[in-house]
Amino acid sequence: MCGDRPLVSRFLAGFILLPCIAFAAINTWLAAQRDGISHSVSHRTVLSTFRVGREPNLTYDLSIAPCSAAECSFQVRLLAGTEVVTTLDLDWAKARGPVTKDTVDESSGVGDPLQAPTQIVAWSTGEEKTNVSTVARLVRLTPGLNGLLVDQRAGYDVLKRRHDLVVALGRKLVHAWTDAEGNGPTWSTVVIEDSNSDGSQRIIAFDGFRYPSNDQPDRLHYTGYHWNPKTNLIESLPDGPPPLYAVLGGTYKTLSEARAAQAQSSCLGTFWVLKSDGFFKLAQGMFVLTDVSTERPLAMKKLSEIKSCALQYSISVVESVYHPSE
Amino acid sequence: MPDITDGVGDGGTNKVHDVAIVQAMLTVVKNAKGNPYLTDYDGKSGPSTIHAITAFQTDQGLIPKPPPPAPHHGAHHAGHPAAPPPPPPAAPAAAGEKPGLVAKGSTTLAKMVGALPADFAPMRIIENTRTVYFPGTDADENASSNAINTTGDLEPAFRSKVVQLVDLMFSTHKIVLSVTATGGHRTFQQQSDTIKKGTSTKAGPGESNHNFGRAVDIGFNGFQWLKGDGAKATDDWWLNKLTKDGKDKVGIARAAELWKARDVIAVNGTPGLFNSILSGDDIHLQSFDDNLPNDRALVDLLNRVGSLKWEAEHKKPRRYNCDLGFGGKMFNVGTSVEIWDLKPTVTKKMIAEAKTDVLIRAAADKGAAAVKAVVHVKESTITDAEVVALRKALKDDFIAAETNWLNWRSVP
Repeated sequence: MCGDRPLVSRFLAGFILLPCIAFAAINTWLAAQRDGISHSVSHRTVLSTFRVGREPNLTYDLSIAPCSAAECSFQVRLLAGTEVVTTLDLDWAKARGPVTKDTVDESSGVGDPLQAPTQIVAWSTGEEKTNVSTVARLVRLTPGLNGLLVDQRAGYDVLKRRHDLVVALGRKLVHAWTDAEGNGPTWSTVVIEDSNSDGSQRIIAFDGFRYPSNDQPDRLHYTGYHWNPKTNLIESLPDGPPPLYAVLGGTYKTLSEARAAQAQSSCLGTFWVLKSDGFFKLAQGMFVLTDVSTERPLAMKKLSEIKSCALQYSISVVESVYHPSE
Repeated sequence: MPDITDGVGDGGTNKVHDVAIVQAMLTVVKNAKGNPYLTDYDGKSGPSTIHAITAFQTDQGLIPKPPPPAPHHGAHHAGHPAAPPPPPPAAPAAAGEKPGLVAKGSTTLAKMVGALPADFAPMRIIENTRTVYFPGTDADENASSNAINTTGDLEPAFRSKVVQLVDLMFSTHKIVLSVTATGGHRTFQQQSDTIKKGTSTKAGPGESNHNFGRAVDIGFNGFQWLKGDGAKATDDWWLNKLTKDGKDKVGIARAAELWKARDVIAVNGTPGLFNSILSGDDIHLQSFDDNLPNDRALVDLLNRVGSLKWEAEHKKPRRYNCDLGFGGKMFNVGTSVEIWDLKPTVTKKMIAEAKTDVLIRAAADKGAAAVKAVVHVKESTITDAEVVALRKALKDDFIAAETNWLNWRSVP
């Protein structure tokens, strides 16, 4: 209504316009607060803000950079108070169109393979094939230093995921670690785990490849990383990744038997067909139908879920280090 | 037979593909002690490469044996990490061969090629790439081409273009491309099964590029390339060996060069296909611009071949509006998966509203009083059978769309 009002005179225009502008600005601000998104005067869309560490004044934010083009960069900024210290663009996928809140699901690449976290907000931009869903998470690398883990899922017909860890070292932002999916039926997810009594955390990165033909087993890798404060680098865990919990839907002598069992079951379709050799606690030279988790309760929950529809299968949960041969 | 377009080594132009293939030969050819001249190849010419060339030339008697090398602590490149730079020759090179240089058409090149074992002699490389590979066979190319040509589930014009790509890739580079096991036409049921697995797609039945025979995942299965240790590797469609399961940055860059070489023919060349706009989906090719939305194309097809009226609702997840066959008010009936599974949102209330809407529209011609007089259809009058029948009618339209997949078209 404000915008439709005719201007009678300069005085009157000012008299009417100023409240209108103020009203519009307040409305925009209120809408942004409702959405959990803050818009600055530069039209930057700030998605998430996190503390860098002990210094309360220093923060990360994940934002969509202002741009006039159709595609805008996702950007991590390091802020000291309101001052922008430095920025780092994440250009794997670009933002298109407005941002909306999205739910995190099993395709997001966020959290345990068996359960996506429900409390975390994802930010979605673009439609269908240009859709990008972005999640920012804080990782306590050391008691005094947090990193910002950005998980992105892009696509519609085909989904691809990428994970970037950005760390503030002094007044610089460092791209400390990245993991992106390549060609084919790939999948990945990243788990943040408490690792030490000092409160620091590690990240466990899973990635897999589901072979679409029956002549190959699937591929599943997982790697644990921690922050080394001496080198200021993200490094593989010196003792290898922690054991995981494998929900087993049977052990099979041949790949074709395992694939056949997978095809016949209504609830094992999402399970991986892997060589048993990678699991130290299983008989070697076999093939297993399995789904994995970093948490025993989640594995047990999955086991109870599949019990009713996998009666003919020998199902169990095994805690084992998993290290597939190359 | 391996060849180069320009000189490699000391004073050479050192184009990446020329350097790579010379280095590759030096990883295969062994010296008198049975050791290769290089232990890796990367397409970059440096002291190690020049040293290896010089050593080969010396062993072949193409240049005089140089004096012992002086200690050196320079930069290193592929192979011999501790190899010293080539020392100056003690005497002028024989037969016009320059020490440390493999010139085009040179005796050094001819000797190097001649020293290759027979099964390595066909090695070749594509311009501006760094991966040395071995030609595929005519039989494999014919098999791939025939498999695509005889499949009835690709749209004919698109199928011809894919066959053309396979033929051109083979005639140009001797590489056999083939379609992956699930990379051709996918049925609505297969799409429904795929989305339910949860992690690889958000496209439901009728929403995938692969549902209408106008998209393929076409890659390098059986592609034989030379590893750094001089052995052959046979790769899969996605070049997982080259990229070390997507974990090796150099391998990923090398694979990207090969995908690009494919697209020079597929996208920029005669077939004129379109690739995926998604990073990491190089294997995908289709007949239309990937920026176009699939839900609109599905609705377009449903409206042309089905019995109901449809609209795409641009929300996530993709949902569809339908007139339920009453020709008026549109109702949100759910996702394509729900429709395909006979579980769309169709209620007695919706049917009652749709029927009332028919009466109101009929009365509209007679004036406001007639509209006001319309008796609204009560929900209680709608039977369970009507709900079931409508749910089936929705799926029937999807079945009609699948049956008429050849009539699909991309919609801006």
